[in-house]
Amino acid sequence: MGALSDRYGAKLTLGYAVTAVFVAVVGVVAGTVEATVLAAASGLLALGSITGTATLAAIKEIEQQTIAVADGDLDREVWTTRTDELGRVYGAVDEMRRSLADRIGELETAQDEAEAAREQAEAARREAAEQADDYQRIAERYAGTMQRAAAGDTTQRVDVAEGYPALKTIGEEFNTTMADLSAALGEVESFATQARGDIDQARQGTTELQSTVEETVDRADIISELAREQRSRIEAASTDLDDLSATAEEVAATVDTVAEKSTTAAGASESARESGREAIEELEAVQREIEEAVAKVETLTDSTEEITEIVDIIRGVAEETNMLALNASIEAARAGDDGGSGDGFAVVAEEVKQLAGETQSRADDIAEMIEEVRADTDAAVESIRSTEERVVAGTETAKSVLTNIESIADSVEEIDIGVAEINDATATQAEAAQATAGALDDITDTSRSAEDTATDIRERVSHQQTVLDDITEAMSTVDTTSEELLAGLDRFDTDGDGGDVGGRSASEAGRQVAATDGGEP
Amino acid sequence: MLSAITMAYVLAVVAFAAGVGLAVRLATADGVDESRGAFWYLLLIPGVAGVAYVAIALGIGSVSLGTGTLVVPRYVDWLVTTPVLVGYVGYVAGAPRRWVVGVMVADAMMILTGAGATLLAGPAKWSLFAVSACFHISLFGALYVVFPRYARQQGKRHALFELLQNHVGLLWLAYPLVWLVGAPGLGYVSAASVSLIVAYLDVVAKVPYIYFVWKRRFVFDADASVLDTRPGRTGAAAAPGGPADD
Repeated sequence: MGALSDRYGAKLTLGYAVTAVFVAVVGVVAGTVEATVLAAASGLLALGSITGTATLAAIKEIEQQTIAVADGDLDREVWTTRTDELGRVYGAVDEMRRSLADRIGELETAQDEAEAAREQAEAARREAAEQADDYQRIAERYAGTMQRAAAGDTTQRVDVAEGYPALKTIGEEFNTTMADLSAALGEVESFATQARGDIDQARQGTTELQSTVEETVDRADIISELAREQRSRIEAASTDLDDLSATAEEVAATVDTVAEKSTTAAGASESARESGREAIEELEAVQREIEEAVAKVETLTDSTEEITEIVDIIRGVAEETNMLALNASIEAARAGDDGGSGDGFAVVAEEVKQLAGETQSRADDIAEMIEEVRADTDAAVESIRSTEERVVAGTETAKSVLTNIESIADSVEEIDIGVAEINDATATQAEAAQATAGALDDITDTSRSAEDTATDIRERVSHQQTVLDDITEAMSTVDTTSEELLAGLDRFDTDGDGGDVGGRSASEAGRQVAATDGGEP
Repeated sequence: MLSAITMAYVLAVVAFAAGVGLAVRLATADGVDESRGAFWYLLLIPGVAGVAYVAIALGIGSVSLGTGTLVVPRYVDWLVTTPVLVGYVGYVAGAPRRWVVGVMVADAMMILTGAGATLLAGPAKWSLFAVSACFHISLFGALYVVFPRYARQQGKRHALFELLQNHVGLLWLAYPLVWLVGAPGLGYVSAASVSLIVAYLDVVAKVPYIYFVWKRRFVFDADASVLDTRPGRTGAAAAPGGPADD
């Protein structure tokens, strides 16, 4: 059904097929040519009454709608219920209508815009023309005022034009300039007048100054003379003082030598005292060592006594052993009589007897040696005791020497201090003399520079005199110039009562201004 | 032979039944202005025709009078439906009531004189046929001269008018041709064949008519004076359910 309604050809084909079937059925049923022809004619009329008329109606409809569109009715949609080719023609026409509407809308908008733009341009052109006229008028007005100003009337001011920023600025700037010029000219005039007054005053001042300067020159000459005398006197004093200074220096040198020697003595006595002290200490150490040696020797004596006792014990043991060996040999002899075993026993007893004898002889040797040692020890103790006594005596002697040395050293130190004080005193004296000499030299210099300064002052004052003459001359020149300036200022009218035209042609200048500012619009 | 004709009548009845369904749907559809469309009158067209063909199929109402045989249900059908068909064209054109009634009366007279011509013989038969033909011509005059004058002012109804005008004008030419050549007239074609052809013509003359109105049912909207075939208020143009031979 959808395919049928979408396609005109299919509809037509169906119509013809139905018609053909109808004609065929009638032909077969009736069996006559007449009936078949009549059926065919009727069938074609029927077919035409449906397909032809429907198509015609659709085409007329679209024609009307298209005419409506062509007449300008672009708002109504071109529409049909048909979906076949003819229906699509409706769609295409509608598309065209919409496109036309859009295009016409765009065109109308563009036309409106163009019209608006044209009106705007026209308005702008009119405004520009008016502005140009205004510019010319205002420029001419400005030119007139400026011509009068150029002629010397500095009270002239332009009537500032409102509405045109550029012209307004020009007018305002001109007025400001003229105001500034008037003020400046006024200032120049008052300055020139004042300058003349000031110059008169200055001239009086310079005359007074000139007499003062001459007085100053005289006084400077007197000062110069006095300074010279003072200097010669000071130079004599300085020579005397130099002699004094030399003597003081000599004394100081001598004292220095004494001081050196005293210092050397002090050093020697100090070292002697030191050596004495060391000797005493040494002696005391020797004494201590001797005492220690005595103690040790005494201990040794005690030890030899103990050894002697032990040797005695050993000797006793050896005797008893000997007795035992004797008994044993007797027993052995008895045993030998009774049997054969007594011979071995006799040998052992003999051996023991020999050993005991040897032991005894060794103990005797030791006893002898100890006796010798004892004798040596006693001799040593005796010797040490005598040495100790001598050492003690030596120490006492050293101590008394030391005491003497110390008293010498003290004396030397006192001398040294005294010498140093003398040295200081002489040095101070020499310095004072020198300083005085130096001060005198300074005074001499000062006196000389005072003399020079006085001379210099005289010269400078003389120079000032020359300068004053120059100044007086310069002031005369300024006075003349001020006079000329005041005469020149009379050309300008700063009070508004009309000035006289001088110098260049003012009207010519005015024309130049007008030609520049009021040019073509 | 008889069975083929009976079969044709059955098909015609089925077609008219479909036409009745479409007419009912047209008269009861949403979004259409029934009072302006006067769609209930259209129900008469397939309705009466369907009843008539049921009677014809059953062999009721065939009258033999004089020389000819008159199938009464067919002429009754035509007497009711054809004035409605042509009168509705006038209504669509917006013609005054007198013109609508006048054209319906002329149509009825055409049917009646045609029926008389069928029954009579000799000069009387041809005289009545001539009278009937005159009424037919007067119908053409109304359709193509009078109605268009009114239809031109009808906006979008104008297209429907032209469609129905041409449909009726062209198809109805077949009827006098069939009468003239067939058994009631010159007798070149048998009565049975004429019955077949007339049945076909009747279906084509009545059912597509309803379908055309259905397709353009929105032209009777309130703003029908403007040239627009779109649905005015609902915007829902229902898809056609009837015959597709548009």
